[in-house]
Amino acid sequence: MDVFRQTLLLPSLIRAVERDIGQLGMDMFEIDIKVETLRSVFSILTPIVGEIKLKADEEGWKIKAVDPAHVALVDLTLSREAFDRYDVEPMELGLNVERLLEHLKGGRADEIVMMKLDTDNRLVVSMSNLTLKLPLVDASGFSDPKVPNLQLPVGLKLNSGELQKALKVSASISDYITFDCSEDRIIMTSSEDLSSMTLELAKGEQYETVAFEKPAKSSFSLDYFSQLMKGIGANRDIVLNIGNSYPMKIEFDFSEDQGHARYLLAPRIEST
Amino acid sequence: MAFPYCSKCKGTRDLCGLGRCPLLERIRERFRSMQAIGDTVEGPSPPSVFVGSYGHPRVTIGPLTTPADIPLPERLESGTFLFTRSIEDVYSIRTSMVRGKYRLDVRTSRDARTLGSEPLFEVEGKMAVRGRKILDSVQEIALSARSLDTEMKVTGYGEKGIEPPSFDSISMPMGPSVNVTRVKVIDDPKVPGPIERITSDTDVNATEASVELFKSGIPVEHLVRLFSVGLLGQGKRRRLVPTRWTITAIDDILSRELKEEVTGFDGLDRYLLFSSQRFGNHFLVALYPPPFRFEMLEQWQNDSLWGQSPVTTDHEGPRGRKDYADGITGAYYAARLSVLNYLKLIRRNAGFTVIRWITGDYWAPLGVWVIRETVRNALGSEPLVFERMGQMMEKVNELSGMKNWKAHARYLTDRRLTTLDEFSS
Repeated sequence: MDVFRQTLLLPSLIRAVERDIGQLGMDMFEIDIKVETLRSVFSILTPIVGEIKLKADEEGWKIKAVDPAHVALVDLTLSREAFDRYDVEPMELGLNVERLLEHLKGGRADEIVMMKLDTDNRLVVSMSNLTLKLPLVDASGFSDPKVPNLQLPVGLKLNSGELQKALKVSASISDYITFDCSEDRIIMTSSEDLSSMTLELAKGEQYETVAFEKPAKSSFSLDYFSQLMKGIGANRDIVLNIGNSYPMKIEFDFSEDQGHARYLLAPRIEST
Repeated sequence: MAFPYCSKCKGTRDLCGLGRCPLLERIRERFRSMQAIGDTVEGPSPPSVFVGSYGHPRVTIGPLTTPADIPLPERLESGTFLFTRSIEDVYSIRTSMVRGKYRLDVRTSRDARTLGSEPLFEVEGKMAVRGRKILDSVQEIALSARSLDTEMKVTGYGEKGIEPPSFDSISMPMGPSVNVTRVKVIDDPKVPGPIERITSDTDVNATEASVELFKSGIPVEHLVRLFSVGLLGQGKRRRLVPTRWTITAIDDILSRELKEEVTGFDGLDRYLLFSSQRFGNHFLVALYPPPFRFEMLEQWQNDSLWGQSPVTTDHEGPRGRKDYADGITGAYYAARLSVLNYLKLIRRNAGFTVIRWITGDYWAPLGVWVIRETVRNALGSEPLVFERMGQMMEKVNELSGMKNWKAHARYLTDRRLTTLDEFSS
């Protein structure tokens, strides 16, 4: 029994040692990247969380995060081609993206940001003649969120502007929005008491069908949905997947298809 | 008779433009018994201090002391004790205390420990010394956990004689107020260890300081005293804070902290319904499975203090709220704190709805401690347990004195916000 326990412990021990060794050589995280790209990454994350655990490896960046109430999730990858320079050995970093995004506001879109770790294990961010040194967030407490494996019957391709339209009106009416998807129509409704909003999207006009197995209908909290829309932006091609009283999935590419993001949002359901 | 907007103002916003609230004035009449009391007031302070909000940033501060000989004066300030009395008793107990007043700039509390060496440029000459001495005494009273014998030197009673008792919907009622020129503390204050340590720490900010004291078991009333006389926070940022604002601030600070902790617990897996009533305040507290969210519904009924009001609601989703709950105001924060305290006790995460309706039995405002205590009392009783939301809603319908709650409830509905965890197996 003891032997068994030891073998179980071993991988985590090795990882711990690897991490310590990793911290000895501080020059293994050095990147150059456009302000614009970094800004898109962070602004996709901030609607969900303020602090994240960044996984960096040979392929690029991978970030998964779930909001504190476990209602919404973001899963984002950025390939190493998106970087102008990428000298990174596999590591995990805790970052306060809310704060970083704030700092990046000052930069021009095409400016290059340099990021690296200094010997005090601080993050050094330089933009032209401006240098910031920021403490890392302790990432050891961040658990990897479980990403549910969803089979959703309806997949649609559309421009995020269509959703934005519905969102603007419905926020003043109710606190949730319903997506009702049939073969050739999506009807978005939001109602409370005597007021209601209905927005109809037609197949071939406002959207293209990617997949259709059967009709689907789900409702979502507008509070959360509008947060996600902030991350998506007003004019972006997205793929939206809807199920029956099931989470929605929104996928899209950014930064010239070098980045890919996926949002999941838990539905609001009628309980019995 | 009440105006339709009385329930919104509750005597604090002067919406009718009549100056003094006529409804409160009517109640005040019943307690106008105190006669001139000589030029000193001697007696124990429970301990209790009050910082007014009128005239901010130049506010009046001073202790509350009772000239009457009352055994265990600590009880005068304790919500738990007052809760067991009738409204008439609460008033006669509380209005037996005389409130001393001295006007000071809110910034004068800055770094209390070095006041003696700092010139107070806000006030001049002799006044500086006088103000500093009064502030020192008031802070000493605020620090103490036991009652203190105090002596106040009274200068005048104002133009209209002694100011009559004062009360509002947030703070506890108080007796007549007088202007003072000297406050002397006769006993030595008994200062609990954590308070001694944290009030002399001028690096920790006021939020962290309050949370830490709360965790070490200091009662909310004591925290409010320390916070309002500017004994918490970073040295340079210490201020006098009107008591009325402090009560809500403390409720908010503590519940934010508790929420962090509670949302990390396992979710409640069934539906619990609690009820209680006190002083004509009726409460239903419904708890349901996560995610965390909170809503409060409130209605003043026909013969109540502020007349019939529409159903007022305030709510917050899992992400919390950033602005002030200006529909329900202080009661919202008090109720939220009590429920979170309970959730911490049972180590469960949950969403909850608090329904409050007020009948004519609540004929005079007592302060938000009534809400804090009644909700706590409800949660200490045996709950009704349900397996489904629908069952609980039926029961709420049966028990609720608020008839149209269904139209106003946002979370206590058969629509439910799910979490992703439910779909990840």
